[in-house]
Amino acid sequence: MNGFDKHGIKHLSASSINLWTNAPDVWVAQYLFGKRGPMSAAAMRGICTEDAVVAVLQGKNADGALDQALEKFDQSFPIGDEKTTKERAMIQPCMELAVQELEQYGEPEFPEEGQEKISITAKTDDYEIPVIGYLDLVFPRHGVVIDLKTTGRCPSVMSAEHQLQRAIYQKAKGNQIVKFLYVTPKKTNLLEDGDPSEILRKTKTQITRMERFLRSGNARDVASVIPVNPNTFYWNGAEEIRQELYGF
Amino acid sequence: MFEIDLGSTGSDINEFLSWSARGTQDGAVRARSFYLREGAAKVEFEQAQTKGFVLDLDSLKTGWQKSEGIAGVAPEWKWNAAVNQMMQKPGDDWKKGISVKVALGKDKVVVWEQAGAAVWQVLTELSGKLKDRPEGKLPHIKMTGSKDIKFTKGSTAYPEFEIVKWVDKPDCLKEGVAAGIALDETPPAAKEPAPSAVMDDDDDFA
Repeated sequence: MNGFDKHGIKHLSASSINLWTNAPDVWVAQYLFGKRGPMSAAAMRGICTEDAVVAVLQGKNADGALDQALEKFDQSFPIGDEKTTKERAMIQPCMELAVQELEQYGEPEFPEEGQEKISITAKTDDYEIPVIGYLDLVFPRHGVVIDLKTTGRCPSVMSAEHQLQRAIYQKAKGNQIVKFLYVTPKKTNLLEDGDPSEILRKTKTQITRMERFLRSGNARDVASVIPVNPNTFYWNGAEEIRQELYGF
Repeated sequence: MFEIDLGSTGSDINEFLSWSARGTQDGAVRARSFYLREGAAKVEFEQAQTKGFVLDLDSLKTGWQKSEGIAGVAPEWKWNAAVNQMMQKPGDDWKKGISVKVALGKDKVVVWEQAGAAVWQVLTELSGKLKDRPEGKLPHIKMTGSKDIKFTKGSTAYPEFEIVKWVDKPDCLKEGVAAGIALDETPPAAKEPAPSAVMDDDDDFA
């Protein structure tokens, strides 16, 4: 039995592989123990902005789309503090700038079930596991797939984590071009960094190490030996989980 | 000259609920407990842990408080326009705080108006549970214990709560027509001497 089967892991994703690489202790908590911290305000801002952008690109009234997005944000954060207020305030300008940038592509297309799911397979003699993802915006007539990233600072080069996500999408979508649109309240930047083949080759090595790690014991066994980094931001909001699982 | 604290609730409720991480110097209130305050009198409120109380979320205000920490001097408040958004911190001396009406049993209403890390932590933790709020219901909460918060310098403790159940708004929290009271013009009730300003539990950094 391979390590993935041993732990009931049916698939991986860019976020799972990135978390395994950057914070394996948090990965163990999330994927082997099913313990996740609450969604951050920044993550919720991204989701709400994307909802509003999609709605406007599909022809809905911008004010109505914004109201719905803010209402959704407020449901998650009904009582505002400085951080949530800052994130909430980003939704409108990010929505407007993203729409300006994306209008040229027309209306995105979605399958009935919502976002388009993609899947590629990582395979060796020892294991075979799907690596899946969900596409934000697909414009088939332009042969373009765009992933929307709202952010406080606009990058000039995509992070390694986003390059992996793009590589997975690019591999899955063949001859369509996959780009990431970064949007701050003040500017946008459309990027497509990284060589997908090279990135996926290195990623397969990480996945193989993950599989071997999982083969080495049950969830409690691996949790008892994995190094714990209490200082990583990945634990933000999930400190109680860290305390419960690792004792500090 | 010291200002007289006339309270900032804008209501005629003269009794206030407060949390004390360290207790009062006179021993009237133990550390990590709630107390009721009317004028200068303070009485420990043990029912926070046994019966709990109902928070009137419809009356909730959030904002910033500046207190000189001197009894009899009114703390200054700047309230947010809406609870889902926080205005910028007015200055270094200001602390986040709340004001909310609280029903103790069926008939008694007090105001929990307090600032500091402890009370804000309560609100933050409750906020995560408010997503499940049934329409029009209010949370009946009960204190289950307390937890430390450590700062770069010093520490405090905040009360942990569980939501016992969601309840209809008690009559004592209803106002005007909703409470079955005719809205005739009547002379406003004279206000009692104001609540004294409270030394903030978070001030005591080591």
